[in-house]
Amino acid sequence: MSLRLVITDNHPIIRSGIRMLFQEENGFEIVGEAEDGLDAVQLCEQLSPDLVMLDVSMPKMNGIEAARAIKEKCPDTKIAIFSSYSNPEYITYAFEAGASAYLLKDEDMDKLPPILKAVANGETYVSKEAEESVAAYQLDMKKQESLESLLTAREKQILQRIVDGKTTKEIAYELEISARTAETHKYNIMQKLNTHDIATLVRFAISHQLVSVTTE
Amino acid sequence: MENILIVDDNKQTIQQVDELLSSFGYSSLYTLEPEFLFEILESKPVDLILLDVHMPGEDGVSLLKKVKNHSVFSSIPVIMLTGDTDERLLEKCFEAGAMDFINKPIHDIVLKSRVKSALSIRDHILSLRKQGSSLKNALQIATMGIWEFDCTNRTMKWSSEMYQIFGRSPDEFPSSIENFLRAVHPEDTKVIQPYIEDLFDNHKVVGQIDFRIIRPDESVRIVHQQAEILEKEGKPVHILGITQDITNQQRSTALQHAYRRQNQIREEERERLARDLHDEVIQIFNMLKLKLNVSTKLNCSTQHEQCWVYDNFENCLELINTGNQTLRQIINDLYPSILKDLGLGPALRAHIRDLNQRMNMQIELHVSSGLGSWPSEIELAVFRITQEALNNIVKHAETPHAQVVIGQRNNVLWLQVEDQGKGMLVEEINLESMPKSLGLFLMKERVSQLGGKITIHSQIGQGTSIFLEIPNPSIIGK
Repeated sequence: MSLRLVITDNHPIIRSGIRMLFQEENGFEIVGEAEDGLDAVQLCEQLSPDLVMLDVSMPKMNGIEAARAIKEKCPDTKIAIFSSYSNPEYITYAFEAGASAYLLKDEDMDKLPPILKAVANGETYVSKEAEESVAAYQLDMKKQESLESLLTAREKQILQRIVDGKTTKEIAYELEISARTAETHKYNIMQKLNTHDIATLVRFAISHQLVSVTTE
Repeated sequence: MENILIVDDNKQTIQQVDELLSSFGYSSLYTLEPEFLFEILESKPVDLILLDVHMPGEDGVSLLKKVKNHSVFSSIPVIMLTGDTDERLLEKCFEAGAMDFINKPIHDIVLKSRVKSALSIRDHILSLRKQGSSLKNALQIATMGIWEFDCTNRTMKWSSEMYQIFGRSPDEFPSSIENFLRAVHPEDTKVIQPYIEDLFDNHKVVGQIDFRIIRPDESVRIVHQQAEILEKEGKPVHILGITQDITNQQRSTALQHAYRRQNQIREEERERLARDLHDEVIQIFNMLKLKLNVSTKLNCSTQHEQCWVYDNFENCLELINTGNQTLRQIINDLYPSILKDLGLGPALRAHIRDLNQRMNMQIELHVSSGLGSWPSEIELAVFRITQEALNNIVKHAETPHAQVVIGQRNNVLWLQVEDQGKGMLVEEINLESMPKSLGLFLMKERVSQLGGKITIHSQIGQGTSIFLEIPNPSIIGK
């Protein structure tokens, strides 16, 4: 039995290129063509294909949003994103939305049929050239999850002094900035940490270990 | 023709005066009974009143007082008619507001000249009043306040426009040098202090001065001030000054400059785009055409030719890849589709990563997890502002270290861009007046158009920090 495929791209020229590629290939049947994400979701609901190929940037609904909707409505349909962007953001979002493969449009087309077959069998795939950037991106994301990275170096200095019980005037003097600037920093810190008064701010800073507390 | 009203209990006097006035070319009305005075004034326009001092019933002086205290008729000049030469009485008449007096019996020459001069004085007063009220209008339109300083007792008087400029009321903010200084923006105090000392202590005028004031609602206005010292016998008596709110003028000049510059930048960008497309993309197409042309002319009969054609195709593929990348970079520079596809956080991340790689920077980004999605207009504005701020850092800050932090709180989006670089002078970030940096000025404009606010802090050697907040309009609408 051949693999039933829906292809999605808002450019007819790309769709006809993909069609041409799979005509030569055994084991594939293109059962539908969609020109935007919304179209693709409807086609998948009607046809329940084995696999849907989605472009990312499309009118009405983009490929990532379409992937999310398809995953929900037809959980058995595998999703392959076929995109011209190699940004790790796109790739991460695509997999989060439920895609099994992320393919780049400038990749060697000959590789496409075997990859899609593997994906239909439950494997995942990311283009080689994107793999590295995805790894770096995920590391980066992990690092930024900490609350500490929410504050700038200057703000950390100021927060420490607030916790130490210093007044705005003292802080301004120590850091050689104007009182007005120190006041703004204080306001920004509270805005960022979603606290409304100094007492809550101090409690928050200590409980989240954003500052060091010296006990005498 | 002027209308003159005669009020006298003596028929003969009325007849005499009536005849004389008409021979001088005036028209006249008269009454023998003083109680009808106001009835007449209300029914006919009267330019001058001739009022007898001694009358039965209500006497002339008390009638005069009534006229002069009347809200409408007080401006009508009154000449008293009297046979009395009692100086006390005359004095009382003048105190009550009489313009002149004529002794009875009445001489025609005296009557003629007194009437004439009274009417001409009235005309002068009316025209002065008119000028005064148009001056007042002009001052209001120009948001210009006038103040007066008394050099002997060091008191100050402000016109009502001064209070408007300061955004205060006279009861809570009485006019004084101290209050004047209190309204001045703290960053401008240094400039204004010596000026004030020179003016009010040393009585020296040192040109004109522009500075900022802060209103109680924290809005900042720019004012222009000039003063003049009035002397009497070589000694300063009064200082007269004007203070004008020039915020709107300054803002529109700055906007004009900024928009002109923006257009210029736009043209430069178009030119650059055209050049990039021509130099890089068109050349690739030309090469491709050339190579493919050669390939089609060969009939590939020899193995050598076949190899050559194969290589040639490989070459073409490489060219297509290069072209593809170049075009993508150009398109991304024009509009980052990641912003539309994935939203602000990922778009910023991709942009900063690219900037770090290309410009060898170490910019850190922190996207607070609750950022959510925002109206595309706001996301685009925040993206462009971040781009601009980071470009400034790359160009001017002389440091690779910077931080971008973004998040939301109570449906207000906030963004902070901070660097540890060389910083700027206060004047450069003064965005109310003519800004040194049009980029910063336009940034502020863009934020305020979205209903948000931006604060910039910078000090030489201490880096620069930009913090902006934009409310979510869809929430406010609800």
